[in-house]
Amino acid sequence: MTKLTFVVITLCLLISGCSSLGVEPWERDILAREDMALDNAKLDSAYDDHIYFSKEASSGGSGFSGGGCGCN
Amino acid sequence: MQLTTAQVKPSKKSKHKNIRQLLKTATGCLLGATAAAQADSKESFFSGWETDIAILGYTEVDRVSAIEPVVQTQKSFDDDSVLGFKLVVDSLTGASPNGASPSDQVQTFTRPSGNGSYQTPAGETPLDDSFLDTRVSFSSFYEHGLGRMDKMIWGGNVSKEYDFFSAGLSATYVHDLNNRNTSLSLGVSGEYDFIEPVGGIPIPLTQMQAASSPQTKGEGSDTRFLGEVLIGVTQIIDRKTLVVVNYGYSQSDGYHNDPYKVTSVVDDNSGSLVQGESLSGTYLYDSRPDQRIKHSLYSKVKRAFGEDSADLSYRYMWDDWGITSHTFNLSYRKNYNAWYIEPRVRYYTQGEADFYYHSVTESQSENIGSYLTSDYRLAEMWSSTIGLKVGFKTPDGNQNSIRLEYYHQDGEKNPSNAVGVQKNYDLFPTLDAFIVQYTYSF
Amino acid sequence: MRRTLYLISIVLLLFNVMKVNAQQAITEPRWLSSFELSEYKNKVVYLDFWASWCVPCRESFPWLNEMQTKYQDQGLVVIAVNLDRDVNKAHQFVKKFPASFYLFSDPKAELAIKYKVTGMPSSYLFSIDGKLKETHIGFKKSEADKYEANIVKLLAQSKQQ
Repeated sequence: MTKLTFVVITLCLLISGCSSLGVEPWERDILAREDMALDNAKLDSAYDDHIYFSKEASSGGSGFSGGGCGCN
Repeated sequence: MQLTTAQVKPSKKSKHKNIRQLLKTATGCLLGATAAAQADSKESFFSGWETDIAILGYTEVDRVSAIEPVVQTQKSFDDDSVLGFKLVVDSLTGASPNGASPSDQVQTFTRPSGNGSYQTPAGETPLDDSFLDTRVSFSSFYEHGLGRMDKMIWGGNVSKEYDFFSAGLSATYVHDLNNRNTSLSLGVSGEYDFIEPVGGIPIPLTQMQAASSPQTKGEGSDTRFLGEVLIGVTQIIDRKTLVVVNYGYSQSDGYHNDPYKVTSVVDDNSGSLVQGESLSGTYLYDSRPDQRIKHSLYSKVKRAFGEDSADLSYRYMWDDWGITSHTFNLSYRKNYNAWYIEPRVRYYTQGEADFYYHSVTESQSENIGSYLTSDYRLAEMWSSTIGLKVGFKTPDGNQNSIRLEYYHQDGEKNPSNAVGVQKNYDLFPTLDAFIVQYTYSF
Repeated sequence: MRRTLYLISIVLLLFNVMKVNAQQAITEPRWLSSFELSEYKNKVVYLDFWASWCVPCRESFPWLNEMQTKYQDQGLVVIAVNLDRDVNKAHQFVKKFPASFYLFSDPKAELAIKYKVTGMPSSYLFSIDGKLKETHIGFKKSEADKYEANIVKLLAQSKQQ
């Protein structure tokens, strides 16, 4: 439970502290680059999730952890 | 004259583009033909799909190998909605550890079907070599805006393999704020799994029986439900940096055992085999709680360095089975004009589940409690991956990439609680695997 | 099958050659050295903020060309303000997506700050007396008719004055 409280507090701090961060709409030239996209290698991540899901006890984190897979 | 409004395309590329267009239309037809959504009235539904095709080869040294082709396609409509489909086929063959420990004697095991048996020579990790499975999985998503700052993403997937069926749905709400510099997301998902093991469901903690004897199997099938909540914050820090923090909670209820895994019972002093009810050794079927609650905390930083970019992520996971894990991932992409090179490292480490034993002694087995597993995936272990990806653009702008990776998994091979002859053998089945992937996007 | 493909390719090839020629004849990018809205008295001004990395901007350029050509005689002036820090990137973009309207480079985003641009592209439509009449963020083909209707309406109002 303490871990959960920690998570919630961290998230709140992040959100409130973040209003001063960021860029103007015309300053997104670098962030608009294909390699700076969060899901720029969606297929690779999906393959990795499947492999590690079947070999290790952890899954998910970046997205949902369900695998639709009987491998674990 | 309307000619001025036309886009200028270098003419020599037209032929390639047409063939590509045909390909795009064909994949659009194949994967999207049943979808009714027609958001863009000015263009055909079948044009403008962006498609990736990929094939992955996965080979473990002396164990499993798999071939996994994928086709995925998606289209962004003029109203900012996106529709996507994905088809995965996964075909697997080879040998997998059955959970039993190496012994100083030849060991005989019964195949999951109850028909026939296989033997493991003395000193070797017992592997069930009868693994052969094909998985087909289909998934789709639909993303649409709710005003300029909010959107919804709906997802669905079904997956079928010989002994397993799974169906899931998910919904994610994304809200942008701070001039789109912050993005909050809240997602929920549900998954239903149906497990129908070859030879039926083994009764937990009962002994594996010889092929000629009646099997200790109960029902033919069982089910499991998985519910998840994922909350996330994505924050743009500056022109070159963005950060993601996610928290995930998942709860699954139902059948969690591995029906094909057993745990060896060994002699208290010699560490050698204990005569079983009908086999020369004693092997107890896997038994895990019927609920698992997992938490994960995930963070990712992406930063551009000139023309290049780095991607660093860390995940902390803990569950109520007593497992905690840490995952680190770092990749660096060096961009050149029409190509890039991207080395990558990953390190993973986990603690063992409360009910993990590499094997149990005879006296331990008498009061072991309700749960017992020797599945190496629930053991204390660590693994590392090194990889290299090379991508290049064809003259007409299509992406190709090749990815090569090496995965090494290791654990406690000589645990301090090994008994007698066990001290001579590796009690953790070390794993080495190679991954090759080719992707073409058009 | 192959023959059809060839045929289609050749036809399209011819079309493209024609387009390129037509384009070259008309457009040499017209970059303004300064911009003051007050200099465009008696003109309806369509101010479009764009950048070379902005994807919908690629779609908006042909449409802006169309508007400029169609309504310049009635008093419309289209001015596209580029917000790239490096104006060379804008030049490269214009080579790929030619512009027959006016261009202005604002690398320090002074105009963008003045007009409080909140997304890319952003468009501002001014009446002949310099009043802001309409604004929209983004460019959607499906809404192009609406954007055009706004221009037509404003041009009609200007004539009555």
